[in-house]
Amino acid sequence: MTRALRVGAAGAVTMLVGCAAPPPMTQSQMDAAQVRQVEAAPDRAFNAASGALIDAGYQVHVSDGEAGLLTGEKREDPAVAANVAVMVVTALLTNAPMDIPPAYHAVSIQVLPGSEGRSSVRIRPFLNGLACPCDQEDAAGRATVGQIWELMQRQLLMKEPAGAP
Amino acid sequence: MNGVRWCAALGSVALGLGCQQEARLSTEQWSAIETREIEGKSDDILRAAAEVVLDDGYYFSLSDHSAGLIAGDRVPSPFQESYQRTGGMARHRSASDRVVVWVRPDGEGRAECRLQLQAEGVRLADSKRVTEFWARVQRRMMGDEKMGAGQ
Repeated sequence: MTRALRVGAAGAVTMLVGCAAPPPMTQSQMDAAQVRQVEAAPDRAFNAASGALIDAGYQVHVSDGEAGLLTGEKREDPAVAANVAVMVVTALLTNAPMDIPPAYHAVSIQVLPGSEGRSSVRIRPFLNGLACPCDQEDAAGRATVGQIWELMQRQLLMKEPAGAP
Repeated sequence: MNGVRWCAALGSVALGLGCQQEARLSTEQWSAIETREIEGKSDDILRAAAEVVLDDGYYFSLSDHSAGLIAGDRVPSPFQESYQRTGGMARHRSASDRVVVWVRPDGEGRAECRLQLQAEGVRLADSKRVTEFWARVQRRMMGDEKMGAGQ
């Protein structure tokens, strides 16, 4: 009974946070949701992506400039009131108080060289180690892609290449 | 007492049957299962392989371009709570699904490509999945070429 309640509560928390197991998407659907074209060479785009991850509060775990790959993760603790409420309810129902674990948001980025000094950037968000589908139902995943993309553009505007008019 | 012993014995058998175990194969057998030869520059192959790693829902957990290595991890649903409670990517040590890609140039316009698969921490001998993975890498390479030509 206790275990069933715990599993139920964990499931409810996961659903509330927003990401679910990704339904199968086609390659072009995935690209449409996650890939953006940028008017910058791959090395500049990669620097902007690194800056965007750091600006958004992610801790960089993997960075390979040559390959254009990046991974960062940040921890989000649950609201104190929600945590207290869950602890009180589980203590009353099961005699074994349970808290809400922190959520871990991660982003993996791939910068691909395009033609004529352009690059394409793929931003893939994750929640607790599982990929977010970024489809119509996954508002949180799409918001993450939008946020990183916006911060990247800001980085590119802030640091114009030398000799730019 | 006998009943208890029977229960314990049955429990151990059930555990033994239920747990995934790594196949006992020789180095050559593992290599044959995991390795394919692909036409193309190793850089292009590695780039397309990284795309497929993301397509499959893995995050990059390791990348060394000069060594031709990429690893991707994802956390299966039963292990998500443990991932959350043990500190996420930095400290998570329980079983995850993992792919490791190794691309080595092999003469003119070819590369030796190896894919190591792990499910819940156990190495998989799955030749079909390896073949499918590299087929998708080749499709991605063709798609990237088309995109480059179209721009």
